[in-house]
Amino acid sequence: MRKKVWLDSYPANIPAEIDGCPFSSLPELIDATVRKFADKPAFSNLGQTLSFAELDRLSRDFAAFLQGLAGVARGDRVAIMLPNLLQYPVALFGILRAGMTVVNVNPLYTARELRVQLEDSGAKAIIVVENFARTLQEALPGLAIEHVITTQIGDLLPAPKRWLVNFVVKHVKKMVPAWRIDKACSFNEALADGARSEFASVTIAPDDLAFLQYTGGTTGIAKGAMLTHGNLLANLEQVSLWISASFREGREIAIAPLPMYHIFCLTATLGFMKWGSLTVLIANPRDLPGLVKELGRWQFSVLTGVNTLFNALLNTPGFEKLDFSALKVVVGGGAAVQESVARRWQEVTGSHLTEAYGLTETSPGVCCTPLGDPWNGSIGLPVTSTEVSIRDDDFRTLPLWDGQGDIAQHTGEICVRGPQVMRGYWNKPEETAKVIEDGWLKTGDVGHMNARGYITLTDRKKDMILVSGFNVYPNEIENIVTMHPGVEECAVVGVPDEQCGEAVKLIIVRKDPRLSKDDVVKYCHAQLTGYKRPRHIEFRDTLPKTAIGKILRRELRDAAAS
Amino acid sequence: MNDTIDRWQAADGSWLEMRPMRPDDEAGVKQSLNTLSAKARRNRFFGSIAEFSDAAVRRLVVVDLEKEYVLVVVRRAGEGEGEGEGEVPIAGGRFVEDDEQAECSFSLLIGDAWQGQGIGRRLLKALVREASLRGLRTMRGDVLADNRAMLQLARSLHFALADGEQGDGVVQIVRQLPDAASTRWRGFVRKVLRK
Ligand SMILES: CC(C)(COP(=O)(O)OP(=O)(O)OC[C@H]1O[C@@H](n2cnc3c(N)ncnc32)[C@H](O)[C@@H]1OP(=O)(O)O)[C@@H](O)C(=O)NCCC(=O)NCCS
Repeated sequence: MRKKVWLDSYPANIPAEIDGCPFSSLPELIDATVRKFADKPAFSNLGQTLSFAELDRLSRDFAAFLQGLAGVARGDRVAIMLPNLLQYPVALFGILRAGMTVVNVNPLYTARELRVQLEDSGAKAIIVVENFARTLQEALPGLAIEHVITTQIGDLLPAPKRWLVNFVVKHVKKMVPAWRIDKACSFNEALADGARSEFASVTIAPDDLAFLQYTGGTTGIAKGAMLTHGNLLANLEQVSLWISASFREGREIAIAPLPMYHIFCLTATLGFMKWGSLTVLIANPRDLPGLVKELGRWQFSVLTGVNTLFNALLNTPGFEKLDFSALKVVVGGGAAVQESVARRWQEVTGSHLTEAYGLTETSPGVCCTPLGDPWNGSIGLPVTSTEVSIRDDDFRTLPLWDGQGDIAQHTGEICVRGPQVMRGYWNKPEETAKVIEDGWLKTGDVGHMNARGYITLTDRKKDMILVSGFNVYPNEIENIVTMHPGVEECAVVGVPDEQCGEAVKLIIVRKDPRLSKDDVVKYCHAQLTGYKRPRHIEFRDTLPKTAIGKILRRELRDAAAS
Repeated sequence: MNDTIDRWQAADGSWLEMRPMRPDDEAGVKQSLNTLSAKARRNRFFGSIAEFSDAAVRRLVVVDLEKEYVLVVVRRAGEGEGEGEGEVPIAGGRFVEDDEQAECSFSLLIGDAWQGQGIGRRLLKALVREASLRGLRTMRGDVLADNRAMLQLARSLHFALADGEQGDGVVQIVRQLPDAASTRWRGFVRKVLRK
């Protein structure tokens, strides 16, 4: 076994290994946390704050309700289709405490996308915010879902405000398309029902499944990464060791602008919660002035985000005037942080941007730049109890990059081993075998490691476009688009984009000459969630091909870029 | 027909035959192409194709014998069906020579139901042999980076990743070809051993 060179670069306070975990499951962690910090604020959203004690009671009620549902048993999958609302942590902890497995669903998914996930996971129940109930209704026929719990945005707000918010959302802003699902029950009914029943606490082992976390597989089929309680507990410990040296228990305020269904936000939130921190859930980070206003209300000390968001915040008037004096830790994940963004961030906020690298399959944290390290284009060092190995195509370890000779000889696939690596893909042993070998997860990302253990990503090996930290798989979009009767042939490439890093470009050869861009836009709108939709659409008579008939993808991209 | 290059029995018992593509294969090829899965189409053509038009099929079937070499594997349908008509194309492979250098690039396409039975390996070997006999020095192939089956197969036949970035999810593989004399010699030995 090669020496773990990165350990020599570890800051003094960071151990090489996590020394055992005091908990064997997430519910144990939740129990301990809510007890220890009972009267402290846990989550805040839309001006309402839940204490840990309230979170405890509500999530227990929700767990008891789930346990009482006919046909739903321990180990069954329960889906959450919510934006960042107080209902999210309540449902999340409720499901986990009931010994069931959480399936996080992007609430902006179209019916088609939703159906794929629900079908694959075999979820028995789902909790959905009313605004998206219509999508669920369309996806529902033929699925195994037996119970639907619907919630209105304001459901966990105190009475007069609840009525007002729910009324405005529904009748004034008309944000709720009409829907009808026969077996639906409301979230507040569910909680009331749970409060009347007995919650039976369940013993859960570290190897039990906590999440089926979906990634749009490169083959276009959704793959559910099986993340266990042990995976999550390990990763939140690994990452929190890395960034929390200056944390004080029960005193930190973390802002969560990324959606909770995203693994990065999910694990980060659990990690902060362990410190008894208050997490401020941002329901709509796209409303940048709104976000800046919300930030102005808090003496926030922790912020998680992606490059796109940091950049957008820096460009939002009023942001530079905020009080950053409490800000200690800012972590960027999902996509590479650009140097210009890191530099301006430092200038404007006086705080340092820490970069984290990870994947859904690794719960997600793998690498992190040491706090305070200046930007150097690397993704940092493997975190505690994590091994990273750069392998060639024959799975042989490549030598470290010493700055001499041909860097290509040192560049290969980044492979990861550690307690955060998933158990595999749900019901897809073949897909699992493709990515896990000897306990190593092959990430599909390409890079090199230097003699001090710093890892730098070079190019992506994957056929994938990265839009604001979200993976978009060209083949999924191409497959959908060619199903349109007016399309003969198409290709999707990623093009550089100021705001999002990369944007989706779709090039079509028409079968029906009457097909318009507008038709394509509408069609994509119905089939694909926002970040996957093509930003640029182009019609061509033919696609450029090589002599052997392969589409010249690079030429499409370059033509698009120029 | 004596243009047969190879003939063998598939796992399901049917007889397969490898031979150069002929213009009259067009109808069969069209039908086979249009039953391919989206994944196979994409791996071969790098984009998504709803339906192969007559023109598109013709471009694949009509071969410039000077610089292209195109093989097809057909399945012989059961007895009772006439010669020729009973042939169903189930796989193909080709290379195209470069105009300037003694190089060529190849591609393979195996019908979904026929993958993983060694057909791709047979075809690629046959392509390498022919290219070598034609005096070409180098064979290249562009492959989607996620196409592990193709990369694995190519590696086992001595291809390596080429330097330089293709990008956009495409990688290039390359190998040097044995010189014609040694290929001829090996072919001779194989024939003798088979007798
Ligand atoms: C890729 C392709 C050509 C392989 O042909 P094939 O007939 O299925 O492959 P073979 O049965 O000859 O297998 C040869 C080797 O490939 C590798 N291989 C084949 N299928 C594989 C798979 N699903 N996963 C990993 N490796 C695989 C193995 O190394 C195998 O060797 P082994 O049998 O000794 O283990 C074929 O699957 C195909 O046509 N796919 C669609 C189109 C395409 O990808 N074309 C390539 C563009 S150039």
